Amino acid sequence: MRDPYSPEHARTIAYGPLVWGAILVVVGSGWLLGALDIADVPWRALIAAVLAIVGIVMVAASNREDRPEGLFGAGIALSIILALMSTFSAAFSVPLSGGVGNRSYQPTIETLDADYHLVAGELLLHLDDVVFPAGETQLSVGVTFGRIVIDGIGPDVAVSIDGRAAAGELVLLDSLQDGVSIEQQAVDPGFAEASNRLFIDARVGVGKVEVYR
Amino acid sequence: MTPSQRRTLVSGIVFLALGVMFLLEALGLYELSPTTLWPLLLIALGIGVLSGVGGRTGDRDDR
Repeated sequence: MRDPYSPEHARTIAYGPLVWGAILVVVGSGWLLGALDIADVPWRALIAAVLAIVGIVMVAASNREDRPEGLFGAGIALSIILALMSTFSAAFSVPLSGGVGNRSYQPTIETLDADYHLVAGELLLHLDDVVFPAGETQLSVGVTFGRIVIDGIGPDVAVSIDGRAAAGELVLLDSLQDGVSIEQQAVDPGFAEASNRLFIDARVGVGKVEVYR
Repeated sequence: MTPSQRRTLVSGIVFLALGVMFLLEALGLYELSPTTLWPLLLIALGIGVLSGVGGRTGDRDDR
C-alpha cells in the first residue's frame, strides 16, 4: 500500500486541479463580493492575472513528470475570454466594470457620482433628490448587458442626453429608437443658454436605456 | 527536453505574455487594437500548439 505521506506521493499532486480549483474560488469570491455590493471587482485585471499565473505554473512545472497538461485548455479559454472582453469593450465603448445584479441609487447632489457602471443587470438612478448647481453637471452611466433607467430629473435643470446601444432600445425622454448599433441624442430646447445643465452619457452594450423626467 | 515538456514550457511563456498584456490593458497602461489582437492571439496559441508537435513520441520515450 502506498504511503500517502511519502515524497513519491507528494510529487504526484497535480497542478491542474489545484489551479482550476483556485480559479473557481477566485471567480466565485469576486462574483459574491460584487453581488453583495461589497467590492467592485476589476474582472478583466483579475482574469488577466489568473492567465499570467497559469503561464507561470506551466513554465515552473514544465520539467516535472506530472506536467499540468490540463492547464493548456484553461489558458486557451482565459485568453479567448479576455480577447472577447477587450473587443467588446473597444467596439461598443462600454466599460466592463461595476459588478453584476440590480442596483438602485437615489443620490443627493453631495452623494452623486460622475460614473455609474454595471457589467450585467439593472441600474436604476433616481435623481428626484438632486438639486443641480449652476453650470454643467456630467453623468456617465454604462451597463454592458441589461437595462439603465434614469428618472426624476427636475424641471429646474436643462438636460442633454447621449444614448448608445450595441443592440437594444433607447428611450430618451419622448424619443424611442431600437435596433443594432444605435445612437441617439435628446436635448432640451434652450440647453446651451440654461444656467443649470445636466449632460448624461448613457451606454448599454446589449439592452435598454430609459431616461425620463 | 521532450516535445511535451517543450509544449508546456512554450505555452506557459505564451500565456504569461498574454496575461501581462491583458493586465496592462485592463489597468489602462496599454491599448490593444481589436484589428491586431485576434491575429496575434491566433499566432500565439498556434506557437503553443506547434511547440508540442511530436509530443506523443516524446512522451513514450520519456517513460
